[in-house]
Parts: sequence; C-alpha cells; structure tokens
Amino acid sequence: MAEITTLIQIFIWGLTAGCIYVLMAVGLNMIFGVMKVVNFAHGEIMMLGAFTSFWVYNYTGINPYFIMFISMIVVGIFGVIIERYGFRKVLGTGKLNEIFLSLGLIYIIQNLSVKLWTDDIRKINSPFSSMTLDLGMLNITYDRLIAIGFTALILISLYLFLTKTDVGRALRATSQNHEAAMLMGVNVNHMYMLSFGIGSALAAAAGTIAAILTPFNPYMGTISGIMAFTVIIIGGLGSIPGAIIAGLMLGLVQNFTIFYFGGAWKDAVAFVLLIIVLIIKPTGLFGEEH
Amino acid sequence: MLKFENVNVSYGAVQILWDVNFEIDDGEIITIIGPNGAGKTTIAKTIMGLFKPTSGTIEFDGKQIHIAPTHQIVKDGIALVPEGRDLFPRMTIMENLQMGAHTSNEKKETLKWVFELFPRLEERQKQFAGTMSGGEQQMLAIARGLMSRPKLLILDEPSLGLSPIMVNKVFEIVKILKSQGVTVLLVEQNIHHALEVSNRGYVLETGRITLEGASSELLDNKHVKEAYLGM
Repeated sequence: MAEITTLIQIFIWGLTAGCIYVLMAVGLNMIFGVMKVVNFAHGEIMMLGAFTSFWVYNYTGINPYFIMFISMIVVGIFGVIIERYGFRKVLGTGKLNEIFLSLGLIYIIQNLSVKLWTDDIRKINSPFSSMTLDLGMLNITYDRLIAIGFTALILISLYLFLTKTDVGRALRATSQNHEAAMLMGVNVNHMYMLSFGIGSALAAAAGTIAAILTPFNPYMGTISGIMAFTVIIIGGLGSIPGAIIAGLMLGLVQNFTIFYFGGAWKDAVAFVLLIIVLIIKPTGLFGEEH
Repeated sequence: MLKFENVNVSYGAVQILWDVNFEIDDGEIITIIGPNGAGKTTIAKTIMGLFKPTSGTIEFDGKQIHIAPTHQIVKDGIALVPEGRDLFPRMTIMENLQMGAHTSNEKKETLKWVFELFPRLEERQKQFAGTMSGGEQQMLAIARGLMSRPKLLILDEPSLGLSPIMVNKVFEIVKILKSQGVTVLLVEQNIHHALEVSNRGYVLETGRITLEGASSELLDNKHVKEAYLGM
C-alpha cells in the first residue's frame, strides 16, 4: 500500500490531467451539440492554442496565464473561420464529407505547424514553475493548482453564459431542437459560428495549460484529440456534465494506472474504461436514450 | 396580409404543393383543412421559409418573404406553433417563453399578456417542458408562439392527440385571440371545431386547393360533409 501522501499527489496529477480533458471534451460537445458535427481536428486546435500562447510568451514574456486568454480569443476566431469557410460548406451534404474535412484539417494544421515551427520539443515556462505548496510531507506545484482553478473558472463562466444570457439560451435551444430554434427567430448560422468559436477557445485553454505543465510539439494534439472523444463518449454525447465527470474520471484513472501498472498502460486503460461504460450504459454515463 | 400566388413546392423529386393560391386578411381566422398527407404542414413550413417554393411568390405585408431566411420571417411578424410542438424539453417553461421572445423588445408586457391567457404556466414556470403532459405542452407551445407578438400566428394541428377537454381549451384560446384581433392561420384535421371558430376556410387535397369559402358555407358543403365530417 502506497503512502497516503503519494496517493494525494497522484490524485492532484489526475485532476490536472482531467482538467485538460474536460476543457477539450466540453468544447467538442458544444460543437457537436449545436451543429451535430464531429470535429476530429479538435486536438490540432488545442495544439494551435499551445503554440499561440508559446509565441506570445516568447515575444512578450508576460505571465502565461494571462496569455491563455489571448490565445483563447485568437484560436476562437480561428475556429469561427474554420466553421464559416469549412464545415458550413459541407453541412448537410452527408456525414462522410464532414468526417473527411475534419480528418484533412488534422494533417493540414499539423504539417503546416511542423513546417513553420519544426517539431522541436518546447515548453512554456510558468513563473510559478519552481514554487510548490508545501504541506509537510506533501508537495504540490502551484501550476497544477492554478490549472484546476482556471478550469473551474472557465467552466463556471461558460455555465453562466449558457444559462443567464439570451445568446447562451439560444445556443442551448439550437442544440435541443435546431428547427424550433429557427422558428424562434434564432439565426442558427450565427450559433454554429459561436459554438465553434467557444469550443476552439476552450481547446486553446487546454492547450495552454498542457504546454505549461508538460513539453509539447505539433503532434501534441493527436492523442489529446482521441482522448477528448473517449471522454465525450464515456460521458454521453452532447452532455456537458457528462464530459466534466468523465474527463476528471479519465485523468484520475490514467494517473493511478501509471502508478500501479506503469506508463505503458496509460492510453490503453482509457479504452478499457470506455468499453466498460459502453457495456453497462451504451449511451454513456449522462447520455440520453434515443 | 399574407398572399400565396401559384406556389409550387417539391420535396426531393416529389411535388407536394401544386399552384397553391390563398389569402389571409388582417384580423381573420383562416382554416386549411384536408386529409393527412395533403400538404398542410408543408404550407405552414413554406410560409416560415423552412421549405422554399420552386416557383410562385409569398407576400406578407407587401414584402416577398419566400426568399427570406426563417429568422427574418419571424422578425417580420409570423410565428408558427409547429405540429408536434417542438418545445425545448430540457428548458424550463420560463426559458421556453423567453426563447419565444428572442426577436422581441417588449418581453415583460408580452409575458404579462401570455400569463393572463395561460395562468397555469405562470404557476409552473420553473418546471421543465419535457416533464409536462401533452395538453400542457400544447398550451406552452401556443404561449411561446405568442411571445414574439406575431402579426400572424400559424397553428399546425394544435388539437392533435389531445383529450377532448384540452381540444376545447385550444379552440377557446383561438376565440380569445380572435376577439383581440390576432390573425390566425389554423391547419387542422379537427374540421368541425376549426371551421366554427374561423371566418373562411380552404380545402387542400393532394397538394391542391380544391374548395374555398366562408366557414359556414364549407360546413354545409356536401363534399366536406361526406369526406370530412362523416355525414
């Protein structure tokens, strides 16, 4: 039996890993909920978020947690452009077109990033990187606590936006019944752009946090994108609470697996978890029966 | 107020509406009756821009609306209460009503008016729409439609699947709206009720208007009696 302090340490690591999954998965679910489109290039959007933060940090040196919000805006706008000139064009022409568009985007964004910025390993250095919260036997780096705090802050802001504002309500209405939303006078094209913008901004936040905690290169998004899909399927397609629970769960399970069974099982265990959930509840934890 | 001129609508390769002509004047209650599959819902959806005519024109308040997007048509002053209601199930009654007022600037006054018409909704405004009974959902759907303060309200099969008591309530509401000067287009299979509350009616059969006239005339018409009223 491991010492309790070690277990708490792993728990915190699991939560931070989970926060990144949550931000990714909630964004993916926003887009899926409103547009019924699956963007397989979501991991690459995250990577663009990491690079945007990295370059702004590199040239200005200001606090990367502040830069995160700049990155969210920049990448959010990029998401809007992808929707407007990419997904909008193929919407309703068949699922296969949407899938291939997003698969194509993976390689375009990834290869272009390697071409522009090489595949060197980089890292954003947080001013808090050497600081830890010292609790006797237990050491927790400030960066991990900040990551958890910012994730909570972003999710609470998103919740308030979706429930308390007219535009947020219109977004939810569009995801619940697209035609009815049109009949209420909602311009659903605007909602599509907005959902893509918000989803991409959340991915940029995830990318920035990931780039502060661990080294990255243009391939960082591949596995993160797949994990985000695993999370939304475990949590139930379209369910934001489901994505939050499943994301945190996956982060914790992965980190405890690394501790007990070794790092090689890290990604495999995600799919074991996925299969177990699908056997017990085929619609995912919070999924709706159809 | 609303004018259909030689409107043709196709769905894929199948033509649904054939040279449809009809008119609605200010303050009128108009009924379109006809059997299942005649294209009644298609007329409603075409007015809202959800279907685009292959030819013909639709004019509303002197404006050509058949080329406009749905959200613009709503802004111009038409609201559709769709068949099957299409509420937002995971939103509260209040949120559904707020969605109805999405294009409106006078939410508060409208809400007061709608709650006067449907006092039950005010009592239960925090309940989720998906948990209401069918009849209550229909009331909410009509209330939501009224929240945009439409010049023209279209009700598509509002009495479908409701208990007789609720059916009476629906037509009760239509009568109240009539007395308040709201223009209503009723698309109904419950012909007797519908013609009783309306000024004029049109009979739509396999996508064509086959008969039109004052409601009282249609109620006395031999064909209508035989085919729709079972007399």
